[in-house]
Amino acid sequence: MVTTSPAEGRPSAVGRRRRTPAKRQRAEDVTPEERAEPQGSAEPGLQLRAPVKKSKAPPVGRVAGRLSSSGGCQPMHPLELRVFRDYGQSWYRFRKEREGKFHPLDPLARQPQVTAEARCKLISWLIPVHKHFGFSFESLCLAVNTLDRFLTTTPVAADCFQLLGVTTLFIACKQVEVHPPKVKQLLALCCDTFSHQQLCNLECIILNKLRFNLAAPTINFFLEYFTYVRMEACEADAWEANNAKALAKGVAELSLADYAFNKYMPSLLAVCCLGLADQMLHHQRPLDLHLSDYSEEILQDCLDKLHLLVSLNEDSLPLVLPPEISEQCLHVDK
Amino acid sequence: MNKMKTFKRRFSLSVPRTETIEESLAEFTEQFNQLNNRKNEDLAQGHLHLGHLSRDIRSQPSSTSPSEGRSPTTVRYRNGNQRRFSMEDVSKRLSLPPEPSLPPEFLQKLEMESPEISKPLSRMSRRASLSDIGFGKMETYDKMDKLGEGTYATVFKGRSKLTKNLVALKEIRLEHEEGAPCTAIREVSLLKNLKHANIVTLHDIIHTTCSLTLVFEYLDSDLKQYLDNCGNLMSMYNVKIFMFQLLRGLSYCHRHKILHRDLKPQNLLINGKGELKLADFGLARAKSVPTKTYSNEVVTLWYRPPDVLLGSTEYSTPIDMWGVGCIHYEMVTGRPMFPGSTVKEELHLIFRLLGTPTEESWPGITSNEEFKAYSFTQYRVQPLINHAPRLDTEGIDLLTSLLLYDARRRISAELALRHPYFMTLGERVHLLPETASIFSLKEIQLQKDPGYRGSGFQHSARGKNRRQSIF
Repeated sequence: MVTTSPAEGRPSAVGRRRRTPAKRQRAEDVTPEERAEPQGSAEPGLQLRAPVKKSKAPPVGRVAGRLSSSGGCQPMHPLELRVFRDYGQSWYRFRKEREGKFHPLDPLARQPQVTAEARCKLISWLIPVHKHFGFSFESLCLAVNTLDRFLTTTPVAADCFQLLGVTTLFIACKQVEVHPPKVKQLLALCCDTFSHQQLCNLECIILNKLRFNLAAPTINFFLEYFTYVRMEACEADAWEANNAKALAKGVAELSLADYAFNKYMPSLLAVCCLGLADQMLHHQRPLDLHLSDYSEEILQDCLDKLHLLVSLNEDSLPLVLPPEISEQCLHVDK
Repeated sequence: MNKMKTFKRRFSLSVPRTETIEESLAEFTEQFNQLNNRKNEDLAQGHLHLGHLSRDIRSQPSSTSPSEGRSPTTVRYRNGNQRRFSMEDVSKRLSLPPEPSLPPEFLQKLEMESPEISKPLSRMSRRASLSDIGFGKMETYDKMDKLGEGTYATVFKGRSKLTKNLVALKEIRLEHEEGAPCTAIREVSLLKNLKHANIVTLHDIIHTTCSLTLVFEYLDSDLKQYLDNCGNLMSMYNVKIFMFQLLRGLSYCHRHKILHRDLKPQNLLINGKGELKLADFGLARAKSVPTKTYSNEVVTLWYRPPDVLLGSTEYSTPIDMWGVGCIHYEMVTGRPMFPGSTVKEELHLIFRLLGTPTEESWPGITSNEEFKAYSFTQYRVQPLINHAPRLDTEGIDLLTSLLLYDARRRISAELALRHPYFMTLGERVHLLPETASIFSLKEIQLQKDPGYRGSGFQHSARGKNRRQSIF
């Protein structure tokens, strides 16, 4: 099996057709505006909650998170590229078609106890948890989707909200991981607050309530798809494409935890996370966001909010990124 | 309230926690515990009670809940409202069988706010009306002969009282140490999205507390039996029709980013009309193929590509295409292509026929540690036509493209359907709607297999060893 990294690919002049001068212009225009935005003063109507403790100094002991997140920077395997060439388009169309069906509509609207803040805390906890186990970003996305969709069906008391979180992660891992976690491990994570029986019962309830509709399209898929598309368009961009993907994954993680982003479809979030990553890394050949079929207006709205989210989390974002990427974006956007 | 504030402040988790994960987890849980403590005045009693219930739950599904006599539990809301819920209310709203299934402690935590919330989706209300006529209910199906049994599932033949159609009832037990089996979760969640003439249809799901029953359409045979019944001598035209259907189903899966990963003749179900359908998606989408089933049976290696045998985990849709090649060969010749019983033997059989891989036939192989460790004899590639003399030139060409070592060069299901081998089936087979059977075209008709033994085919003599695959 050939393992040459696409990042070492020969520079090529082809495939720049998608980049228009106007596009760059717009991208640059946004940045100063956003920088002017004072930290933490979100628009009144916007429920941005930065899932971050800003006061704390950068951590020292978080090796696990770092190690696993550096996987995000890995270039696409040649086999993966070929398969994307064969099937990428139909995967995309199928998922795009279905994402609306799997999109939870304001899951907290009827929740008596669970608040956006609690949801943010829970997901901010699930993020290091899934990294700790070495689970994929796909698992995390699926878990959050299952969680949100379950919340649209059933009011949940605050005291079993954490159990709901680990149970949705459990279900997600059973779908896509080679080695799903053991019930015991999950219970230990919750300091054995809950019983084995409770977790298994909740699993049954979730599966039943959602009628096993679990295979939701994820941000993770769309990040991979758009990254593939830009790599096909211009081979020389492989390095930029992979870096943008790694940073975009970090931004996407932040957005999962923030309820304000719940209203955006995974494909929109994915394309905007990549767009923002390109801006932050000052990429020469950014992704053409119009590949995603969203209108300028919608893209801009989502981009602006992501930008705000990132500036609210600028201390913490670099920590979830592979070191080389975080170094780059540390110098940017401040 | 003060406590609550401290709790919130301390609790404002950040994505990158500054503590170690264990610390943060401990903190998080501590907070939850405190919350619990405040909620349930008598925590100890709750635990005791839970323990009691845990014993009860699945062993005595019909017994009444020990909690029934207790007064309804009080749940404190954030806004200070006090509400009362009885067990009956809760379980009804959760639309689950009555209480024995759930610890009341747990149910009371899942209480419902208002009735409207339980019908947020139009799809869900449609489900409700379907259940009125019998969907999702075990009473709707008559259980008939048992078709087979595994550790996790038992398969019965059955009949729907609604449609009078035969069905296959796959009962999956859920009371395992690790909750619902992964294979069930994957199979159901994936099959729900697939609707194709060459993929077995999942008609219904019956979910009770301790079991899950999947209701599949019933097909009376599978490719393995079909081969047995025609004395391993199939008509070459039928081989082509089966191959086309197999590729059609598989191409549909691959277009939806679903890998089957466990293709073998036992998993290709065939009905009297000759319609072939892919079944058993339990391994689909898993990132690795296990070598043993849950019941500790060895998963067959016969249809597994050499890259996977050599430990590659970087595989994708081409993984299934190798198996298609092996199945093609088996239909043509009547015998399995590489019937190895260990990984080494399997690889040996492959290399003996297709030649030991070289840097040319398989770029990168010479630096593969596992491959080097085996130090195989250098075999030269043998002409496939010598082993499958009944196959025409186009067929040999297709088979060769399916059995390529380099996964990137292996033909895709999509392209294989367009291979000249299928030219004789005509153009119209490519225009079929996804849910239309290939036999809806009048020019496509199954021929009589030369080795067909006649009446034996429809008989239940094979009943015993049927459908082992479905586990």
